[in-house]
Amino acid sequence: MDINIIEKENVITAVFDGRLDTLAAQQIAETLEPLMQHADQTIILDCEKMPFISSSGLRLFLKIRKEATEKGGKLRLRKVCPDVMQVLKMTKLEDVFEIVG
Amino acid sequence: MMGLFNKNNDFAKKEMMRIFLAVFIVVAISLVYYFFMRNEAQKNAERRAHEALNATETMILSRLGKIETIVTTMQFMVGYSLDDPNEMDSISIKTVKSSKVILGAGVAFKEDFFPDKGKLYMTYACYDNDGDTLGVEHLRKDDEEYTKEEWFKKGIETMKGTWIDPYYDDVEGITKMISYVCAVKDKNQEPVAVIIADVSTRTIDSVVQSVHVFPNSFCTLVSQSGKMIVSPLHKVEDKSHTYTEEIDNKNMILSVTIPDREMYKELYRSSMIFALLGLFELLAIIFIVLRAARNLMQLHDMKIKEQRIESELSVARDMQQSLLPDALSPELSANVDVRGLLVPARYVGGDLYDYFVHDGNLYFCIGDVSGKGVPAALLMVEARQLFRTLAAHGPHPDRILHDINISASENNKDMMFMTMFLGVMELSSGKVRYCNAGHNPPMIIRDGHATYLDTPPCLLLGIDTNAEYEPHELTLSDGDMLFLYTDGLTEAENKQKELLGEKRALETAEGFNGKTNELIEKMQQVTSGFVGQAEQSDDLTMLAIRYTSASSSLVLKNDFNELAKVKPFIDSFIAKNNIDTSLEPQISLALDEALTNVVMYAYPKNVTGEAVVTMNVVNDEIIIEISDHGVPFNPLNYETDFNIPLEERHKGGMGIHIIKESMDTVNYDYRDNTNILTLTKKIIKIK
Repeated sequence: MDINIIEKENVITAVFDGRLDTLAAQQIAETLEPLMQHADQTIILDCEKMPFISSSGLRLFLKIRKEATEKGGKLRLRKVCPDVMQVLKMTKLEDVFEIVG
Repeated sequence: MMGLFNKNNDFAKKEMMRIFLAVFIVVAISLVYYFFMRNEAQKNAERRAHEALNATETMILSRLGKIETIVTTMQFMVGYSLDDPNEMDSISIKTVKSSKVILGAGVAFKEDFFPDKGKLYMTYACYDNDGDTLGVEHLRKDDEEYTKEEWFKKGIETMKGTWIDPYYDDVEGITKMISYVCAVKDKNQEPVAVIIADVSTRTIDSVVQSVHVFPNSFCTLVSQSGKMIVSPLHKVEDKSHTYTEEIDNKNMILSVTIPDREMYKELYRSSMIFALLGLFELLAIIFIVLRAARNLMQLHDMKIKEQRIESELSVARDMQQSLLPDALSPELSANVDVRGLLVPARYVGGDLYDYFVHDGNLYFCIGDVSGKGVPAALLMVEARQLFRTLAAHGPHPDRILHDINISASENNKDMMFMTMFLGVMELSSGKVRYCNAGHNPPMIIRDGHATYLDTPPCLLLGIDTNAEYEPHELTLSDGDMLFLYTDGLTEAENKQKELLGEKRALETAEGFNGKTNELIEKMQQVTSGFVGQAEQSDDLTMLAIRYTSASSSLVLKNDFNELAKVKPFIDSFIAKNNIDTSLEPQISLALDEALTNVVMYAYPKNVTGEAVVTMNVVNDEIIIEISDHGVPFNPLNYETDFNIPLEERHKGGMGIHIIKESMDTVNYDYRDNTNILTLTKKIIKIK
């Protein structure tokens, strides 16, 4: 799992590349710290190259969302693949996250 | 039948046409030959006729020449004595005397040549009626006007002399004569008298009549005006050829007449022989051709019958082959690889093999009905039908064989019997239950090592309704292969009447580690290589079953890093069992959640523990077991209630919810100090 964080015009984009299973979630938790610090801004999680997510990954996303909600920022998921979307639906989270194309 | 008949008719017609053509050719050749030979015979006859004519002409000329010489002498003497009329009598007598064939000779003077003798004066010497006395006559009453007669007119014109037409001498009656006349000149070279010599045709009769070119051919001599000089002794026939030759300066025409039947006598004879031979030849040819045609027609009939039987047998063969199971049958399980082959020695055979999957079990059998051909095939079809029907009642090979035996034993008038090896394999475990009714022991190939299954066989099927079939068990491990065959393999015979044998078959399988179809191909190659040019002596049937254990297991420590092993494990399981990869994300998700729970909660912190994941395919379900020896923990009790607000939801409860959503069933059990979470998912197989 690789993560590339790009900051541009007050928008922070985290590009996920790979499977976000429990192990990956454990490994990238630290990498996502900068997002927490900038949770007052707009954060986009680019999921185009992420074919898989488990509950640990979802929990990471929820953590960022909680931080953003508290600090007045915004979180958007971008380009969610069907398999990941399926997981969002089964956990009734598809409406919790703002999902953009 | 009608078509067959018509075909024969055509065939016969063709043969008859050929015969007629042959006859026609023979007749045509004979005719050409006949006319050629006839022409040759004619030419030959003509040649011979002319040769004879020339010879005869020469002889006639010689005879007539003698007469002519005598008359010339007389002509000279008359010319010398013109002033003495009395001398004429002696000259005439001398002339008649000089030749036997001169019947009479005389000299006739022109009018008023001897005035004192009268107006006309003629002397003629000849023998009297008795032929004894030679006398002289003078100017008879008949001769009064002799100057107006033909002989005188012709004679007065020629000094050289000429032969004139024959006539019947009035005096002599039937004596046939020809006459030679010539003129006598006086000193002034004026013709004054005519000498006439009457010559009997006797002088040339014999010459002419002795000409015999062919038997019954004859020669004639006629004067130029058409009067017969020498007539034929034979009757003139209707069909004849006449060849003529003019005799120079003698006003005569010599001819040879050859009757056709003489001319062609040789030809007729040879033609008759030729025709008889030809007829005989034709009869012989017709006889031979008819015999050959009849034989050919019989052969033709037999061929058509043979073709019909052959085509019917070929249909039967196709039907029999179509009863064999499809190797790529989709209902076959992923963890078993089955391949069979049946090569009948004739069009249809008494061997059979069959297999199918029912209720997670592979039912298979191989059998050999005694005998070959259609009756064996019929019994084989019946046995297969029973196998299919009875197998539905449960995975009990002993009961299936028992029932097949009863069915085969009843009404078995012909005492046809059958060997059969029948087995049922539990696909989830590889456990095989089998019975052997007198069949060749199958081979088991394990880790490349081939051995024969050494359980003693039971009685053949179809002999005794009370026969019992003892079941045996064997468990196949991953990759093990069962190889079943009929005696068509081990008793394959080469030209030296040697059998392939069980040892050679075993050696072929030894060290083999491949797919079932490859083993069957190898066996077939070895067999055909061994048999060589010999005819296949028996049906050759083989059935190979290779078990691939569906189950896979993975042992993990309670460390998140261990989770990296899960995805490759799932991928290999999916690949091995031919499961559609679209199931992979759901399986991965469920396992990731379940194992996360184990890593996080099963063991106390800093205590190393293990989790075992076992995946298997049973029937059409994937069964996943996750077990650990940690504290008893039923995750099903911790499922998140999605009706409460997000922030209040339990931290770990989302995982179990995801598992339930991804899988078809989720069950928890705690036994033998082990947490066991069992997940199932219906399979989607690759088509």
